[in-house]
Amino acid sequence: MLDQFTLRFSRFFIRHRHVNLALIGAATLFFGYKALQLQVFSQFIDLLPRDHQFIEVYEKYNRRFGSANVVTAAIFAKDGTIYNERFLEKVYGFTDQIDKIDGVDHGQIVSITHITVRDQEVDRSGILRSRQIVGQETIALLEAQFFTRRALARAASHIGGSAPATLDELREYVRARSKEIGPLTAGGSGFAPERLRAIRLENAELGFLGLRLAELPDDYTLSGEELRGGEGTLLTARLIDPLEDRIHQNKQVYGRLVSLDDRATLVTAGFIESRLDYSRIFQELRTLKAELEADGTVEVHLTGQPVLAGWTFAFLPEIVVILLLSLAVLIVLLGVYFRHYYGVVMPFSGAIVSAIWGLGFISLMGYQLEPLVLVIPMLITARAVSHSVQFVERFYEEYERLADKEEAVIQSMAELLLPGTLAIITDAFGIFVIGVSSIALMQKVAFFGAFWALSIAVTEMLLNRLMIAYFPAPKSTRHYTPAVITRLLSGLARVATGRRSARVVVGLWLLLAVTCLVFAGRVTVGESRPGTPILYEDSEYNRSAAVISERFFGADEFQVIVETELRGGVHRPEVMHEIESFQRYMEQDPKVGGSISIVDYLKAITRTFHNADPRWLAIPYTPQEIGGLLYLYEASAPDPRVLNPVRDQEAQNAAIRLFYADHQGDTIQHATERALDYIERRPRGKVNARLRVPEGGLLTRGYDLLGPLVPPRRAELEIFVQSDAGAYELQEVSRPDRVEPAPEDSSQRILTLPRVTRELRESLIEAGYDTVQKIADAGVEELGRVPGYDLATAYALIDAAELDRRDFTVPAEWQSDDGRVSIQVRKRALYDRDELWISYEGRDWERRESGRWAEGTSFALASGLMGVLAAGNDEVRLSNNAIHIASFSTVFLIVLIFYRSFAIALLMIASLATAALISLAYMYVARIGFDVNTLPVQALGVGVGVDYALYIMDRVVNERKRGHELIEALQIAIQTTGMAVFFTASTLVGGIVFWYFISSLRFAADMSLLLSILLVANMLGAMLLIPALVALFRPRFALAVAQSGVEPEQVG
Amino acid sequence: MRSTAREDKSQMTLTPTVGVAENALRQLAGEARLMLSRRWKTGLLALLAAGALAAAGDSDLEPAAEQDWVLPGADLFAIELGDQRAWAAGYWGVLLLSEDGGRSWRVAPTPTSESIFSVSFGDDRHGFAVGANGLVLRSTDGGESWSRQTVLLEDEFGDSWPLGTSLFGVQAVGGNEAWAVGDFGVVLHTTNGATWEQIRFDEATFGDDNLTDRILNAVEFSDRQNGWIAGEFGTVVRTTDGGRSWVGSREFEDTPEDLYVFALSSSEVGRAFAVGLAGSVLLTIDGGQHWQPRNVPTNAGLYAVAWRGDRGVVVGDRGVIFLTENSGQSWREAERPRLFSWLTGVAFGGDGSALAVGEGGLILRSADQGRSWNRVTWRSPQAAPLLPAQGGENGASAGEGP
Repeated sequence: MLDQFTLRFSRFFIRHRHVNLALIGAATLFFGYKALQLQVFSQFIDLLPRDHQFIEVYEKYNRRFGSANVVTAAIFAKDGTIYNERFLEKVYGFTDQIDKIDGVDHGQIVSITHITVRDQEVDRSGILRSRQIVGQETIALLEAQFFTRRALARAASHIGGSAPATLDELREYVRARSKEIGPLTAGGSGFAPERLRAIRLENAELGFLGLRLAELPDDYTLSGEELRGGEGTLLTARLIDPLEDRIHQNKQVYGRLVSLDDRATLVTAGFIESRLDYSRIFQELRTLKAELEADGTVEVHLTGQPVLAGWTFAFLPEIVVILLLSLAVLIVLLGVYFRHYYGVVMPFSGAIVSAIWGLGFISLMGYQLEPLVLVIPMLITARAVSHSVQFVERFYEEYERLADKEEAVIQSMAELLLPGTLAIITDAFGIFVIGVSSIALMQKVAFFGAFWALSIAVTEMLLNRLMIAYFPAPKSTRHYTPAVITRLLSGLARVATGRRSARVVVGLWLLLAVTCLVFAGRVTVGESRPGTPILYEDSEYNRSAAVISERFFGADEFQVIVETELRGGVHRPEVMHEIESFQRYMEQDPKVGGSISIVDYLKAITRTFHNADPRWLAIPYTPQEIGGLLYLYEASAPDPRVLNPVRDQEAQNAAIRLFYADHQGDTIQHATERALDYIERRPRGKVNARLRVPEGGLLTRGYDLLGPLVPPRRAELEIFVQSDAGAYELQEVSRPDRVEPAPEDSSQRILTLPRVTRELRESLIEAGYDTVQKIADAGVEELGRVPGYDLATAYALIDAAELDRRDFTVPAEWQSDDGRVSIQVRKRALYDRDELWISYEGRDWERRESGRWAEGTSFALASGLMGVLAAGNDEVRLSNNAIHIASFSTVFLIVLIFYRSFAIALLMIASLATAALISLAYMYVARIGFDVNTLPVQALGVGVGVDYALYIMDRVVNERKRGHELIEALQIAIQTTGMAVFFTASTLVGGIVFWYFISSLRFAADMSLLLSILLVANMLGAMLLIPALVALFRPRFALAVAQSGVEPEQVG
Repeated sequence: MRSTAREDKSQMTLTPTVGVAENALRQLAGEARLMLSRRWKTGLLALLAAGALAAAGDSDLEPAAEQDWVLPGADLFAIELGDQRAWAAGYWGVLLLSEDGGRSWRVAPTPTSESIFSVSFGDDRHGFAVGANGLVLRSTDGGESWSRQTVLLEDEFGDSWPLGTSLFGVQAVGGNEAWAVGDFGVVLHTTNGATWEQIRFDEATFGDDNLTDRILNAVEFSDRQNGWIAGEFGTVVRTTDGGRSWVGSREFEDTPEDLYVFALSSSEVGRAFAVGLAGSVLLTIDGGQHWQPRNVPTNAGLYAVAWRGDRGVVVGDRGVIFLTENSGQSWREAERPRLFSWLTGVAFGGDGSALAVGEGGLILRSADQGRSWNRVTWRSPQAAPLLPAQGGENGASAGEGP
């Protein structure tokens, strides 16, 4: 019946070919137009699993305590130490210039020449003074000299030769030049924007230099490159000599910002988390690096997320060239196989049209394309080619049989309609399930990938057929088949169906599967080597990362946030003690290179106040003393933000910043486990509350497997109260399970929505969304236009706002006897985690993202690069199994529904599962870890062979219907359909395997090998394993010979 | 992205059909996304429902118990070296004990989380430790266990108050007698090892303030009769009659009046070294009549001094260790590992060994009378991080004994 339908549909479709072509053409034009607007960029936010509690904490605090988007630059002196004028000027220059890059967070610059890196002294009158670590005077001189140098460089290009040679001439020049270009900065003088920018910059620098010139000594001489003070150097020994001692004594500087051998210094700059132009940042950083290194005295190493993103963008042209090369190889190979333009044009036209649809869709959805995601379109294209090759191959077969082009098209189309469509649907579903992860990048990939894969149904399944109908018929009815391959395939067919050999095949396969199973479980999550796995070990980036982690305590930051209930809470001595003991505990880990918290500042200040006596490295006994000392320190700095990296202005929250040498998956897991262990086992304050998900047992393992597919487990609310004797006692909580209405709406409430930071709230309110209700009602498109949002995040926000407006249930709650503390668990929807809400001393309810609260001091994990990566790794670990399970079960169900055979469905899964195992084993051997980039590729790659198996199975069923014996049917299927499978697989392998040898990105190389292995495994699975299993076990579907009614159709 | 969105709009007006199709698609896509994120999963749940039997949760939150756990990496301020026994103490009430002359260490529990600034043993069993916030600890078993003593001070109205100021120095002279000094000119004396009496300097000698406006850092008795006390503003006082009378000694040559003395060491009656801020070392050989500066080539703050025979060692900021073998005539830097941590304690042992302690739990040991020093590695027991929890506003530890 189904066969009749497909035949009728094919006939109908080919008959109205003009209309159909016009429809497909119109759609293609539309998507083509959209595709032209496609943008290629990276968005950091996309790499984060936005539902993870670490990310909720990170998003809440990153503008205050630093984002994970940090550039780390190490400047190395090639000879000698850093304590000389030349080197310090370079550090000053670099720090100054990095602060001027667009998107940099000015509060997040750390460098020995930066204003926030200070120590303190008490002067003779007993007044605490904080001073910049290199000294105020030194900085002023460095500033003057640096800008003099820049002005001179510019002057040389303006006036050619007559550059100012004395200080007076320089003063005169600065005055004159300012007067000259000052009026131009107003704009409107017809300059190009870049030129205007340059002029404005020069004007600003001249103005600054004008102020600083007074600092330079009168005997300062300028002669070309040589700038000299009276003693031959600008910085006298009086300024330089004490520097070394001061740095060695400063725990926050020595080892962290200055290497232990005094030969290198670190400059870090955080970038604001909105859409960053990574390639521009990267370009500017490279230019800075080149400027610094020009005289050959220093070496600059750059690492960090923006630099890494910059590198992948730098390789974008190469990726494109390699992709084009792949296409060329595909064309050549297809040409070699088919020896006819059909074989080349059909697959390619289809692939290109589906690519247009896919790219158009990406741009339509407001998504962007990232360089590393480009492998995925390649994978989908591979499938498109595969379907097309099947069709062309089948068309030739039918054409040979029927010798009528149109009838051959209709017949082959009808025969392939079911397996082809099924394969495409399962493919699309397989891609779609990647979206169970809450990582936006993966959701985007899932969504556009699924659409792209579905578009193959139109472009390959339909368009191809149309095109053949328009093309002239092939001259010869016999089509070319390479003799070698024919022989090979018949050999394979014999092996797969032979009584004994089939057993051997199945046996070997089992052995392989078991071997792979052993390794498969050991694939690491996260990065399995220091540096980045995206690039080769000897790449500039990874060498830089290695050098930095070797010379410095560590540049990778793990941040634990300290939350208190009230303003000024951090200043309470007991909170300080909690911070300190946690920090010291974490520091004991040999993997921790160093750490900073407000306690370090406080103790150093207290000591300074007491004649630098180390015994006063202590926490004062009252909040007033603590607040007072910190205030004195802040007030004595020219910039009150000096404590911002470790404590917010309200002193309600603080950050404990721990530095690690690398961010490998293991290091991150170790760090989070250690921190959580401490937090869990050490109760603080009078009342402790936590949401605890039960651990252990089968259920936990089940959850680990299914991950985000199933709703999060119900968390138990546990309250501990300290008795007068000091012991903590578990409290009884009430379980009202009542439904409460949403709290009153206000602009303040927007902040309690997940993922809304203060800054984002501002931009929402500015755009008119000043209540949660308005956000819930907002159109996705309009909201997507609010600064800081895009379509994807707008969906998520609306979703969250809708939930927030709904009633929630309270599964558990507790109130202290004195009414001081009220604690509620709130449950929104099935798939939302239980939320912990606290109302303290009658204040508004507040959400604790970390699911933990301790009266006085709560520690919340985790921010910083390591915290963010920890969340990503968690999510990848959980989604990994879930994606495979979901994709396998959809394949199983779809096949079951359409073929009504458990046996076929099981065979599919057997083939898929072995391919998956082999790929995992390869990942283990090649030390590829699962991460945001590799997981989608692996998950998609596993499914790349579904169609092979489907086509083969379908052919077997069809051949049985035509009356062939089972073994015969199997052999025919392998020799005919198998031919197409072999063509596709070998062509695709040929098209990608060479990446391994030429790609500069290790990621592309790794993935090419992974995909090649998957393709071969799937091909062998379809052509050997499945037939062998069928031959051995003779399942019912294979035995049921078709009844009459099918045969006549085949002829008619 | 915003700009493309705007372009979309203009394009919509031009080609309404495309716009409609596009909107419909977006709507569809939006729905699907929502499904993907939540509703769809709910649907899948029905397929995959595995039975959401709630597992019974068990608690692993142990009630806070007093543990012999120390703040890891705590700074060490004090060192005392007996025959074979040695004691090091510091921040957070940390006290370490060695029975092999400082080669290996273990933690001895103390009933406090206040810092200990000084430790002194009269013999191998009887000793005192003093520290922040009026802390006085007493051990009678060689430092294995400690009990806290409350020092009651009487004010001018005759009321008693527990001592709340920090004590920086303690010196035991025999099993039960000891001297302690601290902030606000506090000088304490015990002769029975249990009750302390406050020494008040007479106004005739010391002026109106009786030294109560200054920090006293060091107390050193070479025997029961002869002792020194030193501190802020160049304060050095001396007794030769077991504390019954005191004389001031402030005639320093070529040294600022406000010299801040951190430590003082006396090898024999009448002879003493005082060390202090900015690399100052002073020597007297006439009972404090005259103090001569000794030129030590450093400007680092010097926090501790040990003197035995002709041999003296001073330690201080940035890990500096200077050694003299001729009673301060000449100084040279000792061999030591490259480090920049401050050192606040140094002591000589009987067998030519010496110990120094400082920042971050650093312990240095010398086996050659201070010529060369090596780091002693010891590990604090990485036990459960269970501290007696902090309770109350004043930050007093709930685990503190009476």
